[in-house]
Amino acid sequence: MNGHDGLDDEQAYEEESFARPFLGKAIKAESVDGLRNDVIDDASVEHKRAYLLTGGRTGGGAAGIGIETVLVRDRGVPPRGGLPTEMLMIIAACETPVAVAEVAARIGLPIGVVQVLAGDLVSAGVLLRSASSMSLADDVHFIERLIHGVAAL
Amino acid sequence: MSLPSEIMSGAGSQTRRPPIPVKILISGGFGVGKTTTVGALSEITPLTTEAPMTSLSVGVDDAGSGSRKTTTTVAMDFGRVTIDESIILYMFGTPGQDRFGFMWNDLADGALGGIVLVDPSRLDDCFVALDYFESIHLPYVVAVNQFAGRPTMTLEEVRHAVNVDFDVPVVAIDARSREEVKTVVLTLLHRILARAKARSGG
Repeated sequence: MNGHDGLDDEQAYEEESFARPFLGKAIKAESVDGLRNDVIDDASVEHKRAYLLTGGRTGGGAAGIGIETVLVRDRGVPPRGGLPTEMLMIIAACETPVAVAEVAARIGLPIGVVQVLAGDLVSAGVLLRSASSMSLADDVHFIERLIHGVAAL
Repeated sequence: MSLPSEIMSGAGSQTRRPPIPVKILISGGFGVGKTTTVGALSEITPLTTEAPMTSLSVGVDDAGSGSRKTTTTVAMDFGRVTIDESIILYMFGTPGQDRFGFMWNDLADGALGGIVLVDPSRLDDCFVALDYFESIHLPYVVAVNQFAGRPTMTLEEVRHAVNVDFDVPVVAIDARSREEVKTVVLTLLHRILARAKARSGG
């Protein structure tokens, strides 16, 4: 079984030289002028601290971006130059609609960091975000559509 | 402003909002089959990410200092099921072992419902999840994973042991079976539907 319930992983992190897993991710801080696929290079190691990436901001609730919020790149809005590498990685991961948690898992950044940075990108119009499904919990038609869809899987 | 041709080519097709995510939580004790359940229905191999959680560390890690609030990071597995062009179902396998009293607010925020997986030989492990789902009034079902070769209980015995309300479904599941996981998800959705109808006065 892949992925455990935290305890094993926590111990594993402690045994690594880098206590926090996200700091061990290799990120090359170049190619910031545009989207390029070669910004991630596992061979070169440049550690960045999570709070630097977010300017010290924390809180998953930032801009209402949840772990399941679906993001997609708005192709009509090219990202401006000078964006940090991590933002470019997020944008590149959102070519097709994808949830925040999935972006985080695929590019190896913690969810909390992706939430904050994605919130910035949504504010800037570079990413589009899904509507929340929270108000749909009481929407009979929506739930019926969901049941229909799952039954047809 | 001139746009590069690569960007122009995609313009228009992506100006709509992305699909609405529907989040359901799969919870239960360690090794009860959360990832298996997620993987049985997911269209992607379950992914793992770390979610920050506030926990009450009770005695285990603290040397005699008693209960203390700490922030910890736990691994979380999740999978995705595309329902149609405008709905994506996300299933989050969330840790719930009794070593920590997790406060899952980030995880549960916006969730439509939950599935509590139960291993009949380790019933206690599911109580954290049950308590939490009840405390936030999240609709949930209890799914008893059938482990071959392990002592089993009847569903009525499990219902009695975990002491859930009469209207909470308690069902059997083989977490490896796509069809059975689908059936449990449908059971949950029907429960969510019943509540939606009751609230809308229908």
